[in-house]
Amino acid sequence: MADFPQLVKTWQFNVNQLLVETNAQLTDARFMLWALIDSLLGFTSNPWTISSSNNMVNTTVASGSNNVNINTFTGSGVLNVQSTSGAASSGSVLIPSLKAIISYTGISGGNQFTGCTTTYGSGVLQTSQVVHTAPVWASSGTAHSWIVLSQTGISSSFQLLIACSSGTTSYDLNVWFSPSIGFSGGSTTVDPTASDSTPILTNGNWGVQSSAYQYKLHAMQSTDGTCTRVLITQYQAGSSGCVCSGFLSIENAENPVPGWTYPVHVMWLGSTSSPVLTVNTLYQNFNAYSRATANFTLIWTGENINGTFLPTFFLAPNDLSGEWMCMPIGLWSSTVGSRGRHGSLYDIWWGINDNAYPIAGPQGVPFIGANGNTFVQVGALVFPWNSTTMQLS
Amino acid sequence: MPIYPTLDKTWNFNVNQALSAQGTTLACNQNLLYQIINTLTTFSPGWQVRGASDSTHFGILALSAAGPYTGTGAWTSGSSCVWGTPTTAHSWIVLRNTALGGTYSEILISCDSSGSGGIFMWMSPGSGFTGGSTTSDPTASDQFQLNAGGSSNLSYGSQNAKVAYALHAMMSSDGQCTRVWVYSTGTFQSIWIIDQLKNYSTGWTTPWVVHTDYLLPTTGYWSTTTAYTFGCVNNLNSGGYEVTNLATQQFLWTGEGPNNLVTLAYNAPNDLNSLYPMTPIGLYAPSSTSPLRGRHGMWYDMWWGCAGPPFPAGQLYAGASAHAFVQIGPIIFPWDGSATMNQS
Repeated sequence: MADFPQLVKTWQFNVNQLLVETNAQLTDARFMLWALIDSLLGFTSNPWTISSSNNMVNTTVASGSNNVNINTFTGSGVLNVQSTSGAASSGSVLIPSLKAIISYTGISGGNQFTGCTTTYGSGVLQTSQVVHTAPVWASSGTAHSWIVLSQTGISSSFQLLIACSSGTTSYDLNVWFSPSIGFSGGSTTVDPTASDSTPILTNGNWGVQSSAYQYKLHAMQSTDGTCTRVLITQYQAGSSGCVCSGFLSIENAENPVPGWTYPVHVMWLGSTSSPVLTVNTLYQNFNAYSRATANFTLIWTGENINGTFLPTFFLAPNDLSGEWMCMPIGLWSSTVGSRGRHGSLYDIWWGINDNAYPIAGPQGVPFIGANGNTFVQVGALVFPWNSTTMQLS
Repeated sequence: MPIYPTLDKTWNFNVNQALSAQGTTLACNQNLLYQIINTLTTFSPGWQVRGASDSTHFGILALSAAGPYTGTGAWTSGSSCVWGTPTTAHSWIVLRNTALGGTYSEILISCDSSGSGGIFMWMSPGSGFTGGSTTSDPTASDQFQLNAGGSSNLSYGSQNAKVAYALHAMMSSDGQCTRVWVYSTGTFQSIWIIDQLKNYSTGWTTPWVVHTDYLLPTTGYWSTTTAYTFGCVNNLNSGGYEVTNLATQQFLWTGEGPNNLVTLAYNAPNDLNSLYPMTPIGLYAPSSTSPLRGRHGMWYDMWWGCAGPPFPAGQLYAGASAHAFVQIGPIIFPWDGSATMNQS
């Protein structure tokens, strides 16, 4: 009889979200970024909240536009919403449920986008449909979008700042977190700051292509809000196959050492097209970030034999039990002032690095658990899963 | 505030035994081997003598007979230990420990070596040893020879010199775990670990392992930091046996770390809590030894300790009580609270 790990947390899932290609890289990136944020905001228990933003409006269609076909927006259309607060004076809005993008030339009355033209998509507006302003990428000092998200399940003032201040390349982002103080300030051209801010991505790839592409988005969060994971997957022809090109992990550590006051670990691995959940990115390089009295980096540890990592040692099930390994993941730092093994991660495990994917590991391989497909392996990692078949692209 | 592991087992100790130097090298060797055996059989629950040869007499109980064996040939002092090549008269002894899980879980220790500096050891995971004579060892249908994976004899800690020894032994109160180690002239000499494993693989019907290790003059296994990379981790010095497949297995020791062990990666206390790490030890059968490949379990109540700064041999750690743990080479064991570890 197979043995499976006992979950420490209960989990809520929003996985297998399809983001159809729009034939424009920027539009795909805009939809993906909002889909990611909407996933965080949409969890039932302890969802993330928006603390502040610039040109990242999160609103809904108002009754004045109910049943309006967006094909009528040809240059002078009016889109009625609950609020335009924080929107740029001109730009574009996204209607995710219609996969539509509508440009506008003005705002009026705090609840109307005016001069609207539908530039992509079709359909009929319905009251309460979500409307977002389309993120704008530009270098710091120039008008760009940013958003600060809060998650009190991690700490009372934990915040994540996502800024499109990486120039005009929308497959890059700047991302920081503040474990306990929170971000303040900021403007239309400058990102907010926090005295304990810790950089996660600096003009770094966040998981979307440099050209138009189709993706799947998978988000999961523990019901207590302490652990959040997001995976961006896409299909690559050739030997890579389906790959996870983006991985966001924000989580409190299990059994943190005394002295780590806010034991939160944050990692955002991104590539335009390559797998990111590899032994190399996780086990052999310091790609996770945290902060004690100063910022420090973390590497994910695992059981090894004099440096030979068990998931890469024998690429098959245990001869005796016939079972694949699921091994716990620890956290270790070599940053001076924060050196040592500081804790482990909840409900995530190293899986065997399969022969077929010696670098990336298998993608989307299900494990049954107590119920069907209770776990899934993506790259080198095994995650809890919601029993569905994981769709990768 | 320091945090120490909670022990899985309760332990009986017979440590800091001072074995004074005898008049000859042979007498020193005889006394050491006899005292090791005597210590194992004195624990309660402990190991039971099932048969023995003192080179002039021998006897062995039927597998199902009640023990212990106390007939002719039973070892009564160091002089019962007589070395001789396999076809000549020599001593041997069979010990049983049913707590290990097999029907007749036994080890055989034989002095079938021309010199008294080493012994031979076999394990029988479940079948038990039978037969034997004053010139030949008993055998078991599932026997597995334990000698660092080779054909050479195995150390029991002898320096093969007229020296004093310090003998330390501990056994879990359920009988499932036994550890014996020997020091002499301030230096680690040998260790035997005979344990049932924790969280062993499903399908392993006799999940107990014998680990033997000893000091090598050139590399100093278990005595210096080289033990981390050469002593346990790279050598197949731990042997086990899986009955269903009639296959033997040797294991590598595993540990947590970033590309190596945590205890090697940073040889100092954690910067945040100022504590030294203690990390669990797993056992892994490498792919070269099919058909029992995989990670098959872990040791109870043993941990990798930090490699540095260089600890004195027998580094003691506090716990819930004083001196609750001791570090020997790279490994930390429970300890009985004695303020020092005799290194003779």
